[in-house]
Amino acid sequence: MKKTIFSQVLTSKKWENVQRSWYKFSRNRLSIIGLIVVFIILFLAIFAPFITVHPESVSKYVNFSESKQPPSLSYPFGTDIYGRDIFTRTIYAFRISLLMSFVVLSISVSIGVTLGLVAGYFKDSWIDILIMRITDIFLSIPALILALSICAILPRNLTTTMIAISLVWWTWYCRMTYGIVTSIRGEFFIQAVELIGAGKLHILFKEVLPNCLSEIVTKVTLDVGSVILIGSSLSFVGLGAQPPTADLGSMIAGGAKYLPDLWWMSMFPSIALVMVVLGFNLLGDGIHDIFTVREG
Amino acid sequence: MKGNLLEVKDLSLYFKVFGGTLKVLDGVNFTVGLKEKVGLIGETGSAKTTTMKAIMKILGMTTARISKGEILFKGRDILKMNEAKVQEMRRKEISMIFQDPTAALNPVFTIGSQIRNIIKYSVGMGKKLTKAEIKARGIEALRKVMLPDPERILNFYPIQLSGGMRQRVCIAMAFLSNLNLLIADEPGTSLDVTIKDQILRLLEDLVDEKYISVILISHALGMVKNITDRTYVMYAGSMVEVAKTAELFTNPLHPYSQALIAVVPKLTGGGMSQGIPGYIPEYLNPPLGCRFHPRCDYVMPICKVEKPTFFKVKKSHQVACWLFKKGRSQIDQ
Amino acid sequence: MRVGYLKKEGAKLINNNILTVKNLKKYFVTQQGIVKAVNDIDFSIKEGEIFGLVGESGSGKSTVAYTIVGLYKPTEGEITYRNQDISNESKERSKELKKEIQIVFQDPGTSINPTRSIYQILELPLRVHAIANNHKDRTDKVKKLLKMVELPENYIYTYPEMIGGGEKQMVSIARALATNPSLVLLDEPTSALDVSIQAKIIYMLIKLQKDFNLSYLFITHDLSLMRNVATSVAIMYLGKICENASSSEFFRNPLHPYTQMLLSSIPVLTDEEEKLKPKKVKSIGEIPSPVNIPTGCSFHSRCHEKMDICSKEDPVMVEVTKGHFVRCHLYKLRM
Repeated sequence: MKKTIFSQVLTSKKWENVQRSWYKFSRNRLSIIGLIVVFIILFLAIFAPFITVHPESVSKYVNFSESKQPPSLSYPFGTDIYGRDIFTRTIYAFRISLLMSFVVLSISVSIGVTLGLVAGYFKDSWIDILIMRITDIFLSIPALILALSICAILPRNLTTTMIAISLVWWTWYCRMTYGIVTSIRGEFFIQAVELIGAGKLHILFKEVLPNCLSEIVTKVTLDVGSVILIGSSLSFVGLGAQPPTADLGSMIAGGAKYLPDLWWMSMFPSIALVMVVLGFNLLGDGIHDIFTVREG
Repeated sequence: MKGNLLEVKDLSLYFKVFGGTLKVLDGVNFTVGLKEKVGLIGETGSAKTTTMKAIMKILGMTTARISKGEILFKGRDILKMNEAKVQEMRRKEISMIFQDPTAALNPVFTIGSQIRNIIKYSVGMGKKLTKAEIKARGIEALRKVMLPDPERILNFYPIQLSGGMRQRVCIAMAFLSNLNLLIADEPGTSLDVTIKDQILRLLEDLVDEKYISVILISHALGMVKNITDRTYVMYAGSMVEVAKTAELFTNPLHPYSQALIAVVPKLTGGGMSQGIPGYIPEYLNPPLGCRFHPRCDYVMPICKVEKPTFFKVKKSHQVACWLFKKGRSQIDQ
Repeated sequence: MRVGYLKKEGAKLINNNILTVKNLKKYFVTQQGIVKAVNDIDFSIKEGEIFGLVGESGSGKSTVAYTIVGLYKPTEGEITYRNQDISNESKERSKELKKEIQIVFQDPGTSINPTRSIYQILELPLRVHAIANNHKDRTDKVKKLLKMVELPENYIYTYPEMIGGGEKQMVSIARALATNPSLVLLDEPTSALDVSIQAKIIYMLIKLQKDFNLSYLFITHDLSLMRNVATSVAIMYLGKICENASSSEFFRNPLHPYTQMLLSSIPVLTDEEEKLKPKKVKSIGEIPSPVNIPTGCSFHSRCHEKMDICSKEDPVMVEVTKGHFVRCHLYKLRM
């Protein structure tokens, strides 16, 4: 009984916070556009089987009679050289892109933030030096090259590509969290809690981490676009999702050879890629606005 | 020049925010005469700084709206001036010193370069000043505020100076132009007692030397008492009392003024009072009528409905309180 | 186990002193040199008294509090709490000791975690020290704490950003009192607040002190406030105590030139107060940086009664009248 009353009042205050956040978010028109674009993409990705009419286009399918068709009513984005519907493939490609971001960011954030928390809290100890030097090593190698090298060693498929990108990506979260933690490490509210005698685990995850959340969430939203881009770059060179799985990068690569005659083969996936990245970037800006306290 | 240097007439200001409007300033009336030192006391949230920012027109104009009133400086309405004239005014006629000198100085430029810029864009506008002349003026300004070794300080960054020295640099910068009005917003808060004492004496000397008026804003009542000629008491967005400073502190009339003065710990001992019951009103839904009425010991029915204007009790002592209508000069028990 | 000594009903206190500080030094090594923040000080706090520590920036008063509570380890010297040596850092102290000595910091805005609710902030000490062992007991105790500092009960659901500075400070005070401590260190608890809120908080602090027989170390730079709060006062300058006396004696008969300078500089409101102040001593010069402490008596560069010996030799503390200690060559010579 008490718990429900507790949560009721808590919800009402939380609802006010949600409304306030929406207000801050909606001041910028572009953020709303970003939000709409992301919603559309999510919707398309989730309901792909119900929207598309040529589901066979994402599997091993050839239909040379319908190949190289320009955009038409039955094939809104045209067909590729195998006769597959590009519209269907684009929609399904969204799924791959979103899946990739989700997996990569889940792994990166978990590893990176935890390491950053620990290194920052125990600043100037051997833990700090060890973690941050490893981070520096990873950071000194350009992301794409590192990902390529790892992919070259491992078998070529989507899973290994995601692992490769994660191995590169965690470092940014580690660095960022480290920066925030070292700056609030000496604040009175952390000292006060230490003086009370709270355990380290509690301090790290319940007292320090919540103060990093706003920056982490903002970065995650902005990173979705970047991860998708890197994934597409990798599949552009043949890594990542393997045929016949539809993936934006490989679709763009495959169609590049046939420019400018069969322009629709690269054009539509490219536009789709731009939309995804732009949408998440604009959304990320809006989320950043929610966490920014403006003078008032 | 006849008349007042600065006149704020019935100024009302609001901010548009999430949840509605913050009706911050509610008919502010405020005058500063020539060569007059005016104090403005009130606690955090009384909107003193907002009033000053409105005068300097440095409020964030996206969310702040002035619903009525005028601000007359030397007879001209600041609110109607275009940006160019306002900038001119800020350069040459009005200067402001802020509470936190560290925040007022740019940390990545040397003191010298910041002073140079001020000289170039205020006094130097229209005249061709050589580098040497600018430097000389800078050194002179620093010497005036009694900073030791001004030549060396020109090359320092703000972080290399102590708080007191930074505040003195800010004062020096304020006095670089031939200003008419100096607004000092809590000038001693971040300083130690002995340094604060020095700075205030310095301010007094500088002000007496030139024909300058001062608005001194503070919640430290003692500081205001020692320097000013006349003092306003501000509460929740409007002035509630004004009198000659000595008169105000010996005979405060508005219940808020009385409470405020009573609450300051006295050197003579006597223990601590319990504070003023209640809270500063939130501007989203301020109380109707007199904004102080929820906390007032002497509240009457009319206080809850209608806002009192200034009633004259004595020459130059006015109170915005219904108790003093019809020229009563004491609160009847 | 040391537990027995710490319990309030436990060992009898020597001279009724709950805390004794002897020859305490705390130096910091920085890029600019060694900062002698606390440079050999002695004082004691009796049980149930409010001991005031006054000084300007660089005096080291905050460092004293931080060292006592265990944020720093003393460079040299002894801190004794209830006859037990506690000259170590917080992480080496027992949980019992952590319960007994609590601190309230100066800035309410950064003393409590903005991402935690008031409930979470106040229940943490209860949980850590097993004062209440289930959710219901803790909620009850938190509500009691809020009531004690006169905050409304439903504040348990709010967050720091929704409440004002004075209320945040009251939460800090409630948190400090949650473990039922004996000694509370208050580092300028009201400096960041308005006078009316300051009055409310100080009034409440004094009431709580009487109700629970607490001992306070009260730090402030505001002498008028100190006059109404403390029973004994010590004034610090650049890491050393200049004068130490009972509150009434300190204000009635200030002996050290720095005390006189400070007292004569404070702005007061009434004429009675003005008469009480010592003759005006104009403060001159800057406060030296603690990295560059002048030789001899650290105050000589600003002293209006400076003598030759002052720049050469550092004076020692002498008891001029009973309970009134001064560290100044003027009084050493007269003794």
